[in-house]
Amino acid sequence: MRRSIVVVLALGALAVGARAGGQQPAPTTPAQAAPTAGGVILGTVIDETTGKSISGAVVSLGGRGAPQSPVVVGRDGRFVFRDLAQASYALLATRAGYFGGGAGQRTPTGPRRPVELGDGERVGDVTLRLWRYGVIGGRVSDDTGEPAVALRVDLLERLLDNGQWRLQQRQTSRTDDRGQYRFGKVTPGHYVVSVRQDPDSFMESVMTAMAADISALTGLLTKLMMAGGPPDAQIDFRARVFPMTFAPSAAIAADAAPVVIGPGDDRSQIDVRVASVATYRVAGTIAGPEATPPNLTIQLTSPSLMDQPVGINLTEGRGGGRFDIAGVPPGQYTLRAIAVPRQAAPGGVRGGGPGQFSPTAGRVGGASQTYQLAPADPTWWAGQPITIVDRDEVGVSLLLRQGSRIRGRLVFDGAAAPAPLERMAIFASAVDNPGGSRTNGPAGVAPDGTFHTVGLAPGRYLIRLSATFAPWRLRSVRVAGRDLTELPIEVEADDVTDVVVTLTDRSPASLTGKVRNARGDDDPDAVVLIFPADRQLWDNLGTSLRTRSSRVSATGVYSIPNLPDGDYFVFAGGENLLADWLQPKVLGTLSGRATRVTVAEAERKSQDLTRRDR
Amino acid sequence: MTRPGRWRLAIVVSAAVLSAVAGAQVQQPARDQPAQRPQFGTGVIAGVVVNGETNQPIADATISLVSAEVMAIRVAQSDRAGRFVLPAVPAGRFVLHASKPAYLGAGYGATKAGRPGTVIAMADGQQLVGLGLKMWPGAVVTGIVTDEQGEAVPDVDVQLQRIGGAGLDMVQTMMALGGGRQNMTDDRGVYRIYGVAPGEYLVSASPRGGPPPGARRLTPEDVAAGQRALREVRPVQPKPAIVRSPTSMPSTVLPSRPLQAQEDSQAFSSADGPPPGWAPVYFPGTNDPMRATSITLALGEERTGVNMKAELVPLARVEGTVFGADGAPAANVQLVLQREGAGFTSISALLAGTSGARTAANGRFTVRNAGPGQYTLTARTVGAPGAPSAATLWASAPLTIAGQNITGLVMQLQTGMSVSGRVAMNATRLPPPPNLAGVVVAVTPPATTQNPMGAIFGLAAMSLGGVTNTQMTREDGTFEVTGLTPGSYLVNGVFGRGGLPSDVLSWRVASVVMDGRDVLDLPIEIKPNGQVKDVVVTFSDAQQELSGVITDAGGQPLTASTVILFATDRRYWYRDSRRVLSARPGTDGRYEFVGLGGPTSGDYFLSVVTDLDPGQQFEASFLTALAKASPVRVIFSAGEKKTQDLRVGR
Repeated sequence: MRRSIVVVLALGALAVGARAGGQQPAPTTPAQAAPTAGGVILGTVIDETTGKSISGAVVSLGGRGAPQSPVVVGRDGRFVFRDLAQASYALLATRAGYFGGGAGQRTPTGPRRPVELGDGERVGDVTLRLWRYGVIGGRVSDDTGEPAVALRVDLLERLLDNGQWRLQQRQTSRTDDRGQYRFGKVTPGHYVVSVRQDPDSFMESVMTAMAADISALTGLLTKLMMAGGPPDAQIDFRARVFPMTFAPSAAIAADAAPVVIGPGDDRSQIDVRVASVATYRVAGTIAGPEATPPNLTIQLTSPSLMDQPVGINLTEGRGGGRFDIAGVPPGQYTLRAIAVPRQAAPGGVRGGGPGQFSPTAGRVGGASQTYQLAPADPTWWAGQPITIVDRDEVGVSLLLRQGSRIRGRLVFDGAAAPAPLERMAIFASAVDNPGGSRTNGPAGVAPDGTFHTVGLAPGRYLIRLSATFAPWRLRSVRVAGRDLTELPIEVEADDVTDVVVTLTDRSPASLTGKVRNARGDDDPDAVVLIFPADRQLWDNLGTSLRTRSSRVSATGVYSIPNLPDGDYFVFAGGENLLADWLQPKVLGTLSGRATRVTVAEAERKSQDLTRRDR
Repeated sequence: MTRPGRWRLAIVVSAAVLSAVAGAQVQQPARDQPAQRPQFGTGVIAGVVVNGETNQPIADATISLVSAEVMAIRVAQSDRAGRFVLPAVPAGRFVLHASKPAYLGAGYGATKAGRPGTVIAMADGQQLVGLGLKMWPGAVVTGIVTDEQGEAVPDVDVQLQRIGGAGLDMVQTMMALGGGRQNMTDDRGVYRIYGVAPGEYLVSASPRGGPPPGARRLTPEDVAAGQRALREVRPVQPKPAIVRSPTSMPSTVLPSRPLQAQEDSQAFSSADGPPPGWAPVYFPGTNDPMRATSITLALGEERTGVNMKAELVPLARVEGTVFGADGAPAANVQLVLQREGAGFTSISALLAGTSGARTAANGRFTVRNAGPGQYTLTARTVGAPGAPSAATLWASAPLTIAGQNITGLVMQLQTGMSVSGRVAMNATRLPPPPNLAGVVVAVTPPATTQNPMGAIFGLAAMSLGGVTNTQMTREDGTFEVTGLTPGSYLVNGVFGRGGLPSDVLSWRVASVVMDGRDVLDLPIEIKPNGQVKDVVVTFSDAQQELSGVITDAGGQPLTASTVILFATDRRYWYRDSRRVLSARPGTDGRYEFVGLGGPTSGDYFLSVVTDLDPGQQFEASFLTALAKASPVRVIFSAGEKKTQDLRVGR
């Protein structure tokens, strides 16, 4: 059973690889004549880093119909498929400890391209390249040099997110009894290792204590049940914890020593020194609404600690107008609270939670989905700084405020019949806090074309369509006459009104062309980047409609559809650009050597490019 | 309920308590909460936690103090010198427990690793300082998992299974490993399991993935033939891997031959042989759990070199047809192929060694992925959900699979045995439930070497080929447990109405009357074609309790002791019997058998021993010796709560 799932996944991956390989839609063959089966594909599986062949790899032949069973290669790494019909074949080599392996893949992150086999054709030199995973490991010890056992270790990758470098959690492990940890499947990149003690570890310990005495446990359970719900237990929590520490021994992420991993790199000496600290309580009362919202979440976070909540919230979900977070190490935090109202659920429809779509009863599927107006109930939020030095903060008064809304209307600019408004939805995308977008879902549009978002915590938001109806697409977002299509709306204490979202039925522009290298040959490995000429628009690159990248086809052809009209820079370069180009500094450099193009609405523009290095 | 059952409950309960403690997913408006909020006390408990072997202090141990009685939880940590302080302790009876990763958790008063601790009785404002809390280092098992070529196999789930007196002991495994600890091999094939209690273990590895089904191993001849094909027809032009632009991509790719035919013709080795795959491997390197070698770990030992070689084995398919009692092909019959001796394996390995299928409309079935070994193939009719499943039919056949597919098997269904009767509720203090739907009656084989999970009252066993048979009682209280094969069974039940744990705690089976005698906790024999009828399973809310104080000759509490309460009738002296109970007195000398830990009504002996090996209380020779040493006799009638103080010594 499990095996067949693996196979399905593998085939799925092959199909994806095949699709990703072809940049252009494949036209159908003139006639589906019965193919003769005399084709041969022969090749070798190699470790690209060493150039040596790899034995024991499994080579699968994919493509529609999955014509033949996979093969296991011998010591010479050679594989052969015979009796093949004319077709496009996706080949993939897999081997434990390696990644890559797709036909046509020339770099660790490069695209896969299928092998096009003609009728009776024989291809004799397909090379499938594998790269060894890198390794990051080490030993975690405490301030006395003793191993720190069973601590959580996170592998964080340094990635560009919306124009800024952020650490993204990739893998999690735990130190063993010698304090050692190991990540054995690391793809090339820049990484940081962080170590911390899970607050859950204390709960496990309490649980073990309870389990040690069955009668205590059952007695406690009886009490819980007889009380008709969980009564308050009196809890006194005075544990020292290992706070989040970044390798080698930094208290904040910015001071961490990054680890650069290439294919097959072994960095198993990334040791971490941790020191346990006393912890304190942060507790107090919740003021603002008459009753504490039932779905209020309260967290202590710090951006320098990856915004991971610290401590153990002893009162989470209890209501009752008070909160109590124990086990907080000294540090500077923001005490955040948010409660987003649940979407109203009309009769017969299951109510969605915050941020969930609420399709109307009886209609199924995305195409016919309808949307409700954002809930009328307020969003409650709070955010206040808390500094813990060497004592509990038990008198905190957390004042919840109502979130502000973005209000406006939809305008249809075009000749086509206006889209059915109940099937349209807009969405406020939080620019500063990607996770924050989860707290507000799509907001429907009223019959008169007006809309309002759910209450939003203060911050910067972009207005986007989360659902539309062909041929209508977003043309512009204007606030009090100012174009904020690509610039964020500042939400503060008051509602933002007079937002006009204009839709157009005219086609977007597209840009296509061919990339050649300096010698004038087609370049099959190039990457094409396009970004707005207006530097003001470089602040929100992650969510911009005007910023795109595209790989070229095997013949060097690129195609960028659905471009808003305007002025752009377009640049052809190597694949290494993709990792870090979405930042203003890099765009500044690229713009000096890029080609400037202007596209008009509905224009199908052609622009050939010459590949340049950065 | 048996002891393993209690442990299962403990896990459930712990989760419930945790959610109360952490407040997770509990939404309770303030006005609905009980008015009394527990008060923090003024007592103090302080002491030192040390390594029980070396007497060295242990730093950074988590010290938990828990009282169910007064709903208090205190958590602290030991400092560098192993010292800890738990303030604001109210009066009450507490469990004090120390834990630290890589160590074996221990309760206060435990004399050896794995022994129960004693309860601490705190008076109001008491300052209990200078306590000594002992912990012991856990053992370590480490090794490498490789494949046939000697190359590391990553991402393999390696498990330890503890072996108890009567075979694999699931309970002891969970206790010893802190809830069934597992470990995955890393990229070097290395695993390392630490914090293991001393004892005897089986080590098993369950590799995942492996080559896709039907993968064919290429030989040099295959490659040479391919190269000849390239040369023979026309000279090969050096050609890039990408030979066409995507514009020539055809829209469909037709397989050149039917897939099924290819699967067989391109199979791994022989033309008709089954495809290869991983099977669970047991130390020192066998796919057969019966040939596995156990390892015995001493306290704190580091056992290295526990290496295993994972081999690809042919995974056969078993095909056949099931016929009903009327001779017609039977559709929708559930088939389970279960490995013999699977009782020695872990649940995950057991699942890996168990395959299932259902018959099609023509009665045919195919079970796949069976590695070489001895199996039992069981067929069982499946009632429609909600429908009465009175007419469960079954068939069973032993199978030996030795790398070949088995086809053309014929299975003839026969009528299963059944146990039927009614449930009665003996309500002495609680209102009787309005209806009895939801009461579960279970007919389970007793725990044996072959079937260690028989005693675990749970769904896990049920889903694994009908080891346990249960029946939800109908509203009028009648039940019929069907589809039983001949053998020995225990009849028990649980009041699971609506899944409320309070029901489980309040109502327990007080008697199972069959042919005029009470067979609760005693095995009954079900013979071929034997239908057991008119069984009355009586639940009662009246629970028996025993408590008392143990003192020494000088009248001081005798804490270094264990109280054993066991049935006078030897028929109840078996492993995990719920009529053999043990408890340790608290610091005040008080011992308790209450709540779920209370005795079933009946005739008992009460004895005191100074030390008890885990599981020793179930040994007949041990109990025989106790019974001869003039124990106190205690008889419990229904709902009787007794007090029995004990004085030891002259």
